[in-house]
Amino acid sequence: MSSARLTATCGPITFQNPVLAASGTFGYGSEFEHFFPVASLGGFVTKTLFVEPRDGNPAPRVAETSTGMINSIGLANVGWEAFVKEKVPDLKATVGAAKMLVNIAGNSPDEYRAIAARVEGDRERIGCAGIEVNVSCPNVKEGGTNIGCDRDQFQAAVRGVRQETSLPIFVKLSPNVTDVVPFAGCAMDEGAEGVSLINTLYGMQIDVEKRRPVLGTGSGGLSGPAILPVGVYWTYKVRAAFPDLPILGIGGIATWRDALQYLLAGAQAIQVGTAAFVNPLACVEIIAGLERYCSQRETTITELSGAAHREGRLAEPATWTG
Amino acid sequence: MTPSPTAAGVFALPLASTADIAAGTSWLRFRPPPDTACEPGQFFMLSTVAPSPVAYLGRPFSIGDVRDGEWFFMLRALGRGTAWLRTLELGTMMRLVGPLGVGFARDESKVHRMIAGGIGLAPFLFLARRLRTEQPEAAIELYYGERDARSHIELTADEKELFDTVERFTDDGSLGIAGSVVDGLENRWAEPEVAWYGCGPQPMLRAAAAKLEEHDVDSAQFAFEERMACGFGVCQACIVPNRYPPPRYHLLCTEGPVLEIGKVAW
Ligand SMILES: Cc1cc2nc3c(=O)[nH]c(=O)nc-3n(C[C@H](O)[C@H](O)[C@H](O)COP(=O)(O)OP(=O)(O)OC[C@H]3O[C@@H](n4cnc5c(N)ncnc54)[C@H](O)[C@@H]3O)c2cc1C
Ligand SMILES: Cc1cc2nc3c(=O)[nH]c(=O)nc-3n(C[C@H](O)[C@H](O)[C@H](O)COP(=O)(O)O)c2cc1C
Ligand code: FES
Repeated sequence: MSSARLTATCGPITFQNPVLAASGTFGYGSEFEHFFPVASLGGFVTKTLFVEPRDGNPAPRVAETSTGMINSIGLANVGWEAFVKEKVPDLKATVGAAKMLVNIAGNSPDEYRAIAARVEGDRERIGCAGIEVNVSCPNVKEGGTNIGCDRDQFQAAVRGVRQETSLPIFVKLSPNVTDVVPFAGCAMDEGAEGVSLINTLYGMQIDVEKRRPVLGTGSGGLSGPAILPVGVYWTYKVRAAFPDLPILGIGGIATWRDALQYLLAGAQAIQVGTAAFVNPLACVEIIAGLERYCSQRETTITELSGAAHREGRLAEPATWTG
Repeated sequence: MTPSPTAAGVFALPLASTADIAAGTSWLRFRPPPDTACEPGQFFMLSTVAPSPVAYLGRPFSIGDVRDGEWFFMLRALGRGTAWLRTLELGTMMRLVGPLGVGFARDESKVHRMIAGGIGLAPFLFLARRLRTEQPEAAIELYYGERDARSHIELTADEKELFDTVERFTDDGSLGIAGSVVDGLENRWAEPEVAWYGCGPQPMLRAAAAKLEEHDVDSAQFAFEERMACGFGVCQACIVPNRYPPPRYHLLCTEGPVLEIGKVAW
């Protein structure tokens, strides 16, 4: 059990601490159990689930960069039915006070609606605290445009999910747009309880010997410490625009100091992804670091959240000058 | 005997010693806490505790040997990360995540025959050590090929004792028999009561698997390599095509790295 100082309130969901494991980097929740008790986390987000299972993309699926990695996993997942039958029973025994968010996606707004309906139907059985909507998915019927980068499709997907479920919804925003803020506003207008940001940034690595892209699909999503400032920036901007919209901050968090940057920028809680590949204990070390910080400074996560705005030096981040 | 995967842990250990054994190739030695068991064919993800400016992710390495409770990894510099790992100073705090994956099943057999290409030698000293104690009557054979004499890893007297037969090959003939291990095995593919083990570059494994299938050998365990980001089943990076889908892919870090050759779509 975390100390009361660490309690993180994100709209209708209260986490025992502000540290969650991010989608796609924590499996379905039980894979980390031999490293540390999952019950010690604030929560975790499942791998993105579709109604039907998906095999994902051809190899190579990952390329390392100087301070991170690019992945093109292709949202490989076991599908909803196998998740409920094969993964959830293991989880029930271990999840304890940690909260599970189920991450969902589809290849069209209709598919988002369909998977949301499945989650709603099984909500008692799986015991999840809410849904995270991964909108970074190509619409196969619309020539593969990224649903998370197209306002109309984004709105349709979020609306569909909202209509099917009364569970709390966090929409996971893509940074691959000129401005993330209007997408956050749209999610809020469509009745989402909060937003998660950011997902990975488009990236490519080229093998100079072979003279072709390294990844099997050519390009992928960049994650890890390299993207920390991008996530902190958008967290700050979204908090400034919508002070009451709960934010789960994600991107490049490897230490408690990184986590604190997101909290100060305006997140109520954070998620750790790539860092846990390198150090499976990253989440528990971050919780311990925040605990130490809060007790030494006699403060709480709630007090820290958004504090960078209150310092008053920068009401708005400056625009670039060159 | 089929190994049951040991629960993996995260170990922060200082690099206790290194020893050069061939061009670009060294042993790394660590002193783990007592009673941390691992099985031949299993692996660890190695990284430094202080984030590296060169290699962000961990790198997978087979457990190369276990002696007097100490862990040895046989490391060959083949790229950016491995070259950097070879330059680390003694005492550098390293993070070892493991033991991971499923190693070699060690069923009773009259002959245990290991075919190694290059750094594919890495898992076999430990495998031979276990087989020696578990099946003292069995013959343990090593067929080991390298590009040239410089890359060739000379076994110590103690290591040689682990094998009844060691046959060495080099592509350029600068040491041992000239040519590949696969060609060198000539007519031995069809011999009965042989348990086959393989590890090495993909083309070598493919050629060996083809020979074995040609001779109706229906069981052989090969240790495979794929790019890995986590090593413990969460990132889905390490796929190997499945001969009998669905699913379309095996996840190498949890189902392997040792797979029966019949399971793989070559
Ligand atoms: C289960 C397993 C056990 C292994 N055991 C050993 C061992 O005992 N001794 C040893 O020397 N090597 C071993 N390897 C290979 C070793 O992990 C790679 O040589 C190493 O990852 C290459 O990293 P690099 O940065 O030097 O190469 P680069 O080519 O610069 O690496 C770029 C990226 O490709 C990945 N990559 C490149 N080659 C390989 C490869 N062959 N296998 C997996 N990933 C690769 C790297 O992890 C990195 O992310 C093993 C690999 C696996 C999968
Ligand atoms: C290998 C890998 C797989 C991922 N899979 C998913 C996924 O299935 N769904 C999702 O919403 N995000 C996925 N992500 C994105 C992460 O959840 C996170 O948003 C992103 O990696 C940035 O955080 P990080 O820098 O801490 O990793 C994945 C990331 C990685 C590295
Ligand atoms: S390396 Fe991450 S799943 Fe295998």
